Amino acid sequence: MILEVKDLHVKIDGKDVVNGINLKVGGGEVHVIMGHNGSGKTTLAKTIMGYPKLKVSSGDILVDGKSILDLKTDQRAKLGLFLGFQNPVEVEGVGFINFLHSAKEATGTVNTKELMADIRSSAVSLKMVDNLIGRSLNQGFSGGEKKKAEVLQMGVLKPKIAILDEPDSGLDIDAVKVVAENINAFAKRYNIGLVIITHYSRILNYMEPQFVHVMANGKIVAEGGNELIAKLEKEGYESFTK
Amino acid sequence: MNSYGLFAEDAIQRYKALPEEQNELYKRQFINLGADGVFDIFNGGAATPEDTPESLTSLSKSLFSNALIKFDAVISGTGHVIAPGAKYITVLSPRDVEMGTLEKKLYKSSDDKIAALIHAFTKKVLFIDIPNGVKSALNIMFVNSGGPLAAQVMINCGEESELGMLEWYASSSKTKSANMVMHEGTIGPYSNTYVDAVHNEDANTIVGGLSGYRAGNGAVLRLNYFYNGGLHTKVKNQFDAVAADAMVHANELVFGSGSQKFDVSSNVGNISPSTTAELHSRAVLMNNASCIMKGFAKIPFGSKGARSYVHESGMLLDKTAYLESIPAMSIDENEVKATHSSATGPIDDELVFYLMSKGLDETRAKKLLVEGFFSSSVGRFQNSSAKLAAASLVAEKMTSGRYGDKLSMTMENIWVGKENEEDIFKGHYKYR
Repeated sequence: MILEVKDLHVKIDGKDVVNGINLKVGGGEVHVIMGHNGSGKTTLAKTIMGYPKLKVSSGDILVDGKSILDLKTDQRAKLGLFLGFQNPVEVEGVGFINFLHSAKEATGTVNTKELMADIRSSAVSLKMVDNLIGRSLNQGFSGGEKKKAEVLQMGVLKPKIAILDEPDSGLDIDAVKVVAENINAFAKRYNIGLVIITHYSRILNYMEPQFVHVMANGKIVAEGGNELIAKLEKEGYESFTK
Repeated sequence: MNSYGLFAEDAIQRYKALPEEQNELYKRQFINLGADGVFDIFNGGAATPEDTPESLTSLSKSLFSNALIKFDAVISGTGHVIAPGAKYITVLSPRDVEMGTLEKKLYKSSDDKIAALIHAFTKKVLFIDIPNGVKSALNIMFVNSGGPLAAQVMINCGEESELGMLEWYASSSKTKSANMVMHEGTIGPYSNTYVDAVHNEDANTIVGGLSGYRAGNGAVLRLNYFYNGGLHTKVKNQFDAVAADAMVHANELVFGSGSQKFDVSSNVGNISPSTTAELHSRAVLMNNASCIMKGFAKIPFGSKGARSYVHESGMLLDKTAYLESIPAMSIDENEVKATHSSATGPIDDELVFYLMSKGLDETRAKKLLVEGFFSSSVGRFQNSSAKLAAASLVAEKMTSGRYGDKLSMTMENIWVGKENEEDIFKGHYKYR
């Protein structure tokens, strides 16, 4: 599967928030989008996923060459797109397993035993507190637990392209490593194309990004490989916005 | 005419004269008790065949696609009661009951028009008497088979007794009809009682109810009411912890669709020191459904150490749905813990987007959110069949908007709230 963003413009209240983004992600590739706060990273991620309050003013988003702009969010998910949220919402009364069962069911048949085994092994691998998956979805989870839960969902739902919006924020040092290793493992196992959105390079120490994109003011202002990460660490985002 | 007959006649006259019916807001918001209202349903309903014990038994079975609930008693609109071998239930006719007994009732005809109506048209009184130290479970169906139903239930739980009651309210009338039931319960010292009531009447049925329960010293009373059916519903409840250390936990669910209207008014009282009285009310409304949800808690002077809690919350699925949530408290004692809250809003778009981003279509996402919203309330039901039935009804209404039908408890896609921590699903599990 290939996700392609072509000259994408998104406005909020008349202001360009995403301003001509081009991006191409294939299965098994690891892309990183970095940028300062408010640079448009989350807006881009949500727009790709079809957030109803964000309207594309021009440009296109394609999956395997076909525009998905007219598709609803769930239809995009069924194509194989996945969004790991920066701030996962708490859903009262909806059990974590109930939710995952429904999500699996929405995309095909589901074997409950296999699903449970999948969830349990992923939870162990992510070192999640045992009773987390028995609770309501994200309710009462710490920031780190929520991020782990998003990665667990990715591992269970097995998308083709996963956009992970700040999977490292709110995590302690050890947890960053655990989350990164699990993202890597799931991506390799299921040939998932990754788009990692992050502010910091720490999580990237445990990953092997092939493509690094730096965003500022709704645009990609620099692209390259690991050398960009080193430059960012040394010079900060300001050097890219001058 | 005995004293009850005189009382009923008097009730009818007073009922006709009640000025509340003339209030335009009242008329608009809930039960139309005008020319084609409940009173006339009882007075001039179309003639329907008499039901028989066999037909009622068959009816009670046919309302469920599988026999998960076996009823100990079925009471119909024509006044037939089937209570095959049901222990502790005595069936009385109003003419057998003298005013001396009835006067202990909380609701007299002059207090409330529904009380007046029920008093006037009651054909049968069920007297449930649980002796001291006895444990009992009873499943009772109320159905307007053969005509509109007006009935009274008097419950007396003895000291250190246990009673678990499932009440199922159904319809069997093809013309406009009513289900009107009045309860009066006295829960003895250190006894443990629960009442799980599920209303699944059809759109031909007007629902009316009055309940008055009094929990005695150290008694625990759990009341779980699910209002899902009926065209218009008007209920008024009074739950009091009347002696020290008594605990009353009331839990109400309202789920409205189409043109359903609900007027649910519940009062809880901490009438003695060291008592607990809680009221949790939740409503979800879709289409043009409307609901007035009133919760009131009273702590009189002298009830030191009382704990009182009123919580009301609502979710609106459509802009045309209407909910008026009114929590209130009256506290005359200082040394108490008491709080109330109310929160109502449309379904959260962010939650819908989150679920849709993981593959659930909009309908399915909203269904999951509604089931989740009701989950903890459904989980409070004590009777597992009632719990499953309530969850089934929520799923059915979210899927098709239907209510009042034969209930298909297929156990597919039914999730209920937390019940068993040791379950494989660790608190949220699926019946399969």
